[in-house]
Amino acid sequence: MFSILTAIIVVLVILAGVLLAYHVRTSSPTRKRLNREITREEAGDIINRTSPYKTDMEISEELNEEGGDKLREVTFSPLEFYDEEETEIVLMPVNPSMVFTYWIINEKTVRNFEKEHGPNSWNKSNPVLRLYNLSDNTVEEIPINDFASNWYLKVYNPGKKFKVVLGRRFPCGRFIQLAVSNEAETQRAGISAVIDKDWMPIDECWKIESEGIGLSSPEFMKI
Amino acid sequence: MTRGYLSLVLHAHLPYIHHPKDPNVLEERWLHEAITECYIPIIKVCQNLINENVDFRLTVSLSPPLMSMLSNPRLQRRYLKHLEKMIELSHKELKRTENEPEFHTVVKMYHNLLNQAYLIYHVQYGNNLLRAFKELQDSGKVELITAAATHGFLPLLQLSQKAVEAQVKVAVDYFKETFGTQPQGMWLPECGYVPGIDNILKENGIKYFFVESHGVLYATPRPKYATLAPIRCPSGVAAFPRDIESSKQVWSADEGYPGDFDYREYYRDIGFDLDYEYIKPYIHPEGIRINTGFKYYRITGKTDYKEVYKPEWAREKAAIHAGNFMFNRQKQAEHYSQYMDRPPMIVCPYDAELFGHWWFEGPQWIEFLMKKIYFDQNEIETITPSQYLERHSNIQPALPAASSWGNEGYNDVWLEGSNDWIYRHLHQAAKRMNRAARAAIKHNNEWYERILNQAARELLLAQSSDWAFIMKTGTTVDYARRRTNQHIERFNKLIQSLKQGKIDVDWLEEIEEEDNIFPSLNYKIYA
Repeated sequence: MFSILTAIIVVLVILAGVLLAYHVRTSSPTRKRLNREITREEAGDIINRTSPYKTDMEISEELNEEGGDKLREVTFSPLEFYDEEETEIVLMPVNPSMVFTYWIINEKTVRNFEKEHGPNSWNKSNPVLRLYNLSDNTVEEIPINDFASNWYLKVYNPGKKFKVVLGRRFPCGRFIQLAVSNEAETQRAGISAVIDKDWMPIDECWKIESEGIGLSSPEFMKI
Repeated sequence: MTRGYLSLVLHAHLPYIHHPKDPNVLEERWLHEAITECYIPIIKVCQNLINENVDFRLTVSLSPPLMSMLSNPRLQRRYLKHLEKMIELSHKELKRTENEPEFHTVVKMYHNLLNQAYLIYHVQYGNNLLRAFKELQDSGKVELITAAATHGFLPLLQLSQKAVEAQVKVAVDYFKETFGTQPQGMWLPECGYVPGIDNILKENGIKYFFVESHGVLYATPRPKYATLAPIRCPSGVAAFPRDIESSKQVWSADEGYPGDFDYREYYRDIGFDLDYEYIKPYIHPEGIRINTGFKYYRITGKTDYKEVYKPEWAREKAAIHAGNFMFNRQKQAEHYSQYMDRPPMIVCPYDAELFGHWWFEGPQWIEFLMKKIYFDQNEIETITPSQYLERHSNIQPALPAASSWGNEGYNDVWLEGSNDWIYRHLHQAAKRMNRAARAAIKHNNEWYERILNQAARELLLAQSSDWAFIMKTGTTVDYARRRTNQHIERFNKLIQSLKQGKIDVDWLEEIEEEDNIFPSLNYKIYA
């Protein structure tokens, strides 16, 4: 008996809530309730209330139904374009002696890998980064782990171009490449040896403090 | 005879903080504080100089987010309310300190400054300080330039050429729209430069930008005049290096002027010092103690012991420091001009927010400096970079080195453990923006246009260098993370809606209203 009463009260409270919400929604000056197909002009009026845009789109039926929280949704023909998140690796210079890389591995890449190299081949191989110094033509391999999705690489090499390759190496030594990064250049960290004959450096002007880098405003704020 | 040039550059920027539904966002205070303490005093100083017929030149960079906030009616109303509240507090403080003459003098100073701020802000410029800046530009004494659209740190956005192009183009268009003139120069956010950015500046009609000293010192070929003259990039755009010596005199906490013991102590504020019940109506509505701007002590010394601020002593010091600064620049000019075939150019760029906010006496210092330079000597002359380029067309061709003015001089501040996670999102979003824009441009569909215009705003706002900087420095990190995530999420949702062919219009309107920077932005720049 008691539980039936509680149930009735709960139902009543919910009903009151719905009615109140409905009232608030429909009486709000910024909303219109429509239960018929609306005209283009009206649609424009609604859409344009807080926005300067004109519309000639159809307003979906969901707009007009009861249930105050329904979306005021519009539909239009979907825009088709290629939008896959591909497996990729990106390389960025941090300073003259360090670069940063991050990578994204698409599930499809893992599936294809296993398809090609056998079941569980992903786990049987180890992720590595191969860092190419394109300026000096050298390469270095850095073992990483499957928990990482980015890495800082010390290169101690200003003014050089690098790229990095993400891949996996099997215990037998076989290497499979997954992605190749963009080229990134570490910043120069010294005075150029190149001299323009028409603009011979004036020694006196170069007798400036060698500390070079001043404090930035952010630094000041920190202090 | 002019032996050297001094180019004082103030870069004014705050991130875009606009929360229509929440008038009490703590971060909105940044704008309030900067208007009262920095922008109005700087405007006032320039007006004084003009009224006293002082011939001076100052370059002011206004970032587009700051310009947008200064011209936003909602934020204008909120600032005015804040200012009125502070004036009210000044009345109470005058009464409270009646019998404490030392404090009373300081309160009077704030009272007068606030009333003056009200006159300038509300009465003179109708709540829009951009009018004041425009007037200064029209006077010919102040050259206004701008910064990248949302202050994106360009070297780390460069992966997407379109993203960098948009940061530059949107900023230039917005400046033209606002001031009716083409900006001659651009402030690269954080002085972040990598070769190639100058090509984009060139395409947008920009004639010069600034780099940190080593950007020019490490240029190729080696610059003839080191940091004492600009160099010309292969694109033809000039790069002006920051002068090392004068930077240190102002910035350095140990050697710099702002640390003088007679200057106002920033960290003692009645928002924290006074009785809670008394100060409650003037701090955050949730009862969080915050700065009110009423600061009554001088730096005094290196300990926590502080004595009451003496406005006259501080003013005297500002005059002395202006004299010292001028003397050092004269020495620099005198020395180097013996060896150079053109007057040495000493470029001193500073964050505008240093002046008045951190260094309370900074605006006074500028006024003294400009007057002294004009009245007391003729060895150095203040100049804008545009004027320099008009007078000296023969500039050494050289390619500046990648650099920034952040700690260590490169990308370290904006790319490290606390903030490196943002770049995969920013790069991915820029890529998606480009793909969607290229697809949408083929159709004449107003929904595509509207959604992509908003997506572009979200992308731009996510790219603000401020978020990475805040994450690194550890202040208000939650806010910076939230903003980054929020803009990226909104961006992704917008792109998703395009692909699905449906969108919740209430939500769209809501974010259009909140993230309403650059109303006339067109997504096609990303195609």
